[in-house]
Amino acid sequence: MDFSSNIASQLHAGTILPEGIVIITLMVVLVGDLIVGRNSARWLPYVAIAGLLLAVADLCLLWNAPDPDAFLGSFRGDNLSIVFRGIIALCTAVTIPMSIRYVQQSGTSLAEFIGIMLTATLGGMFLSGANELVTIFISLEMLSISSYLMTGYMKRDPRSNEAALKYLLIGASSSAIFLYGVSLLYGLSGGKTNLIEISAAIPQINGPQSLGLAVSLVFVIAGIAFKISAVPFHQWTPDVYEGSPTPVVAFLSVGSKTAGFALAIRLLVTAFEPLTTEWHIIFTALAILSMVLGNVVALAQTSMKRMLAYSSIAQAGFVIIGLIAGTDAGYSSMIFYLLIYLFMNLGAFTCVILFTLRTGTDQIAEYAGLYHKDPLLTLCLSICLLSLGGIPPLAGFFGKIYLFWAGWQAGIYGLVLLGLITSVVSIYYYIRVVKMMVVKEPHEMSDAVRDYPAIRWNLPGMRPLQVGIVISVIITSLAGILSNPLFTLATDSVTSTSILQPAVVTQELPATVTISSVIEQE
Amino acid sequence: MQLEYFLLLGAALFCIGIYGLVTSRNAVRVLMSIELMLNAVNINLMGFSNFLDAGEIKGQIFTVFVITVAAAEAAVGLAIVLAIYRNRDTIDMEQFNLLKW
Repeated sequence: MDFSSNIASQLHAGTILPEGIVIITLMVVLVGDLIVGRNSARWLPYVAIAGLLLAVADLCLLWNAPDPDAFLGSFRGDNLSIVFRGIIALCTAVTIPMSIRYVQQSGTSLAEFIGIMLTATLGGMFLSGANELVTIFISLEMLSISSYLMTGYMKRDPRSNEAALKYLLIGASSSAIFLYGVSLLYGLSGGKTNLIEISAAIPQINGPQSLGLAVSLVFVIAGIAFKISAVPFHQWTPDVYEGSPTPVVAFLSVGSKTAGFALAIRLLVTAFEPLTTEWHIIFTALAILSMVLGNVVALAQTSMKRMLAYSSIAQAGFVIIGLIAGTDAGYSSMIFYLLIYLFMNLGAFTCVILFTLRTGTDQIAEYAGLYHKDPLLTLCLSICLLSLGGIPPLAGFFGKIYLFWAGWQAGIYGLVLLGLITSVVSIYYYIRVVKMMVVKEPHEMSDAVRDYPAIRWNLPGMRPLQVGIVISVIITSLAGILSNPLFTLATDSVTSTSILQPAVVTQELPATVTISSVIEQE
Repeated sequence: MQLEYFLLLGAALFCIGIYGLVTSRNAVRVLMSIELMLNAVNINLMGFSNFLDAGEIKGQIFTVFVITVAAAEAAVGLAIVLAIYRNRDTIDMEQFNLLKW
């Protein structure tokens, strides 16, 4: 016991305590389901939510930890990772309440669904702090494989099957390509796997221009761009979003994307620091394509889920602006936008789930005249969509302003102007849905809305859904006006993180722990 | 033996994998092509680890992880292929066209 606690303190195992809490929650969910059986569906989701919120609370306690390096430098629990881990855990905590009714109505087991979702969360959380190539790969695959499983969760539905197969094949090949880039990186750095050691070794070994390094960069970016679904690595997104269960889509659009951005920041800013101009060029191209294609193709969609898929592609393009800016303001605007995006996007998806549960369709035309039957749902969906479009005074407006301002400060005028133009286009297709719901007269109602069932919140699983909607909508409408705490959080996390402050990185290099030094201390 | 030979073998295997990925119509063959790509990565890692990192052999450890994860991925992939075969009676990629814009 003494030996093991000694090891744990030397490895700084306390840094991954939030992940430990999620693992214990996962165990409780799985074992509880095995022992109690189907009846456990009544309390298991709440256990999972409680565990996730506990993990978020623990993340708050770890804020500004004096020594963030854990497990010999392979995991870095710095403030940047804490924010990203918090976003991912919160995303799952909001997604679970909206999935209870959906999964039960489809007749599949709820506990297994929650178990897989918690595993995906765990992968995303580890990915946000991973600072070593093997850890990055394992956590990336943990997130991906559980996402494939969730996508195909409705196994009797051919559309869900097809989405899962497409996602799996494209995802597995993109992670193979990513891995090939990583293997080149391992060789070009002379056998290093720690990101900080790699960034120190690469300029010494390769000099300023290296073809191998450029190839490795392109391959790694292909893997990252797949995760954040930036054009031209986006083909899976609309298909998967349309085919898979809606709660899963909600998780993928926020949790998985956030993890992808965390990976992008850490890998590109640390390991590929010598190639900063090159990756800036590639990401500029990705951002331009994502914003243009995402927003323009979204105009033509008839399915709500497909429209939100293209909208999420476009939103990824906006967030990349912050990454390219490369300043403190740029990174903190990314985090600020992702925090807001979490609530507005999940709110929109919760409303879509509610509408699908009541009518069984997700065509945009079927929303016509919804205002006369269900004012609450119309109001919530309108607020979330308008916020996604960036209408003041909702939260999305402030997020976008901050992103564009950071980009303008950093001198990427063309990209910011393009962002402004494409967000005007995006407002059109968001408003179209709102107009469809509100303006139509009662006699223009769609068939689905005419047969709209009586609103009953007391059905099992409906109450958490209602709570989820209300929380998301309140935060979406107030976070913009009361944005100061979120803003401070985002700025603090960036300014106190050493990898984003170039001067500090060079000082820290000698302090990295090696295996031999730990063995000597034993 | 030189390091270049290992890297060339890895690159060739990776290209064969990409070729198979693009041209195959059978879902199982696509999965096999992905395995080829992962094995190309393994050869790369083993080569680098022998020539550059003989002391700590991080590349060999990485390879063990890659093999393990590839097995998990193949298992999930085959499960999904099985589920789709039960529903659709085919695993031909060209037949999967329910989702299109």
